Amino acid sequence: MSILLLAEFRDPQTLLAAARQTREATSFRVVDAFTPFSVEGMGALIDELPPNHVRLAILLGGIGGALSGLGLQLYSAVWALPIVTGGRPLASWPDFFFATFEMGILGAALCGFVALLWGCGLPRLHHPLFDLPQFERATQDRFFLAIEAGGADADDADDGGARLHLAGLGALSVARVPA
Amino acid sequence: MTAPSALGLLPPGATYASVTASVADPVLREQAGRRWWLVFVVGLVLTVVMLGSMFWLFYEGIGIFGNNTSVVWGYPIANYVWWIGIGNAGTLISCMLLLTRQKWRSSINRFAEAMTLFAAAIAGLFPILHLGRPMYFYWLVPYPNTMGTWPQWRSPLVWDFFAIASYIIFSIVFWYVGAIPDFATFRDRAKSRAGQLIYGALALGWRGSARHWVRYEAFYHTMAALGVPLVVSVHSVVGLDFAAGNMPGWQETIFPPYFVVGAMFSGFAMVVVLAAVTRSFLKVEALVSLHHFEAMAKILLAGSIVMGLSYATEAYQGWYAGDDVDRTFLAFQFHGAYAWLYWCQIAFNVFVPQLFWAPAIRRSIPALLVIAVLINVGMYLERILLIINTLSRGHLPAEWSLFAPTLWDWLLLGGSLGFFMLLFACFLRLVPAVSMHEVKQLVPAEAAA
Repeated sequence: MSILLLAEFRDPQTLLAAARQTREATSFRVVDAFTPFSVEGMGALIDELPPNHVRLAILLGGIGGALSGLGLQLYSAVWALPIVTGGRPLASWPDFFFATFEMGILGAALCGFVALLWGCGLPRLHHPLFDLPQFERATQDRFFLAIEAGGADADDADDGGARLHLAGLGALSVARVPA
Repeated sequence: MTAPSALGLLPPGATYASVTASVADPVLREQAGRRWWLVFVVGLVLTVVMLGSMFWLFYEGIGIFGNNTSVVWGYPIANYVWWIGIGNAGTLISCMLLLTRQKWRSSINRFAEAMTLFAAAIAGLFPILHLGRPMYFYWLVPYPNTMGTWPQWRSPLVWDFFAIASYIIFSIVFWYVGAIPDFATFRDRAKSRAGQLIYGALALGWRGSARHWVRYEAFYHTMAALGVPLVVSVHSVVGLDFAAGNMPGWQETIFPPYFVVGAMFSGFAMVVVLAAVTRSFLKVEALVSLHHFEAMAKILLAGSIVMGLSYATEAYQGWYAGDDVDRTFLAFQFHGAYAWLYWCQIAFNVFVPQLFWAPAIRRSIPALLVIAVLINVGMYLERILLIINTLSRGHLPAEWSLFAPTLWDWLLLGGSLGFFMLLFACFLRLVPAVSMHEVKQLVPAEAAA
């Protein structure tokens, strides 16, 4: 089984450079990065980042919300309670646009929120990474890179030079992630 | 990229650790000061006053208000429009400044959004309190019922219900998602078990993984793009509540945009007040700097000019249309019983903010605070005069009558202000009041070590 190593860096520039170096010069896989804020360009350096469906979910949620809002109004005003007021047609669609619009935005927001949590694998209150003492700085002031090292028989003693590689890139500490 | 610290947005020598400490430590490590307790207790007392007035209202009925058979909308509707205006601004400010890449946004957006949530929630109470039979407010909700009735979809009041409900839910989601990474920081920094558990639950297990951030950015920016038209629609619908009525001073096509600008204007004034408060309570002077206040003062100045233009357009249209009832209304507005309030409104909203042309005033926090409070008073005057001027001088001279607020009108208004203070005080002590993860993006690389 291959092993997962977590390297700690001082700033986002070093982290980005380390990820780029690892991808270009070694056979180790860049599995993930953990940063206190969104580091521009980090996503592109992760191997096999699962596709991001949040925007699609927002679009579909918006269309779904708007259609159900419009459908509700047409159903209730034309079919369930057909009352003519002021000589207007039953399906007075220009008046129906307000609630349709609001329902569309609401559907988009809620659907996007669910897609965000789903895509992030949250809520997941505990994670093996939280067992590493230095990891609590991942939300404060340190930048972490997770790489997968070694082949089928890798272990702590034989990581294929991954620890040396990370130390050479300026890692402040390197730790093995408990499985 | 230029070093943002050169713009004075961050203190010289700011690091990732110092940003975290300046936001988190006042909440997690330090006791609340005497001033915080003062705000909390005053807020709590006024909240009890609000609850007591609400109890008396439900017990006795809406006769306790100053409303009469001509002036049927009084303080409750003015309170509603004023609070929802403030409530619109936080999300509008946050979304627009994000989309236009204003770096100074990151210090103020969190509490501006919190202001939105609290103000919108308080605003939502008033239309219900104003109902003769408040227990039936849920009839606005479309649901299959034994009466076989459905909402009247052609009425702005029903649009309003949908707009406010969508807006409050949207704002909660937007605010909460923006705060998740900061809740995670609090979780990892909290010393007490209770703090770790509560912030841990709120953070949902956020790890700051690249996979998280990619999705977060996609969600947050798309929500910001949706938020701007949503806010514009919400306050436009509030404007339509009036504009769809066949009354002098109400039936004007300018109302939707004029209400949206008014909302942004009063909301920004409230953000200035809250920024000054947040800054002194949390000791985040470094993160909310004079540059932030100066930027907000410039927006208030621009807002005051648009408000002046709107007031002038309104008056001109009323006069030029030439209808007797419109001209009677205008004469009443300029010379009638409430004219002194109208001129105060013009002074506070249009003329006083012109002081912001002077750079020294834009950079003086006491001056900003006074002007911002005056703007909020001026905007309240606008909302109440909009109602009582029009309803006092309607189409039928036989129905003309004046309005005077009662003690209960004042208690409910003051109580709602106290409730807002209480909520905001709790927010300052419990939640990361400045968006740490966004401010940290401004820390220049060379100082980051």
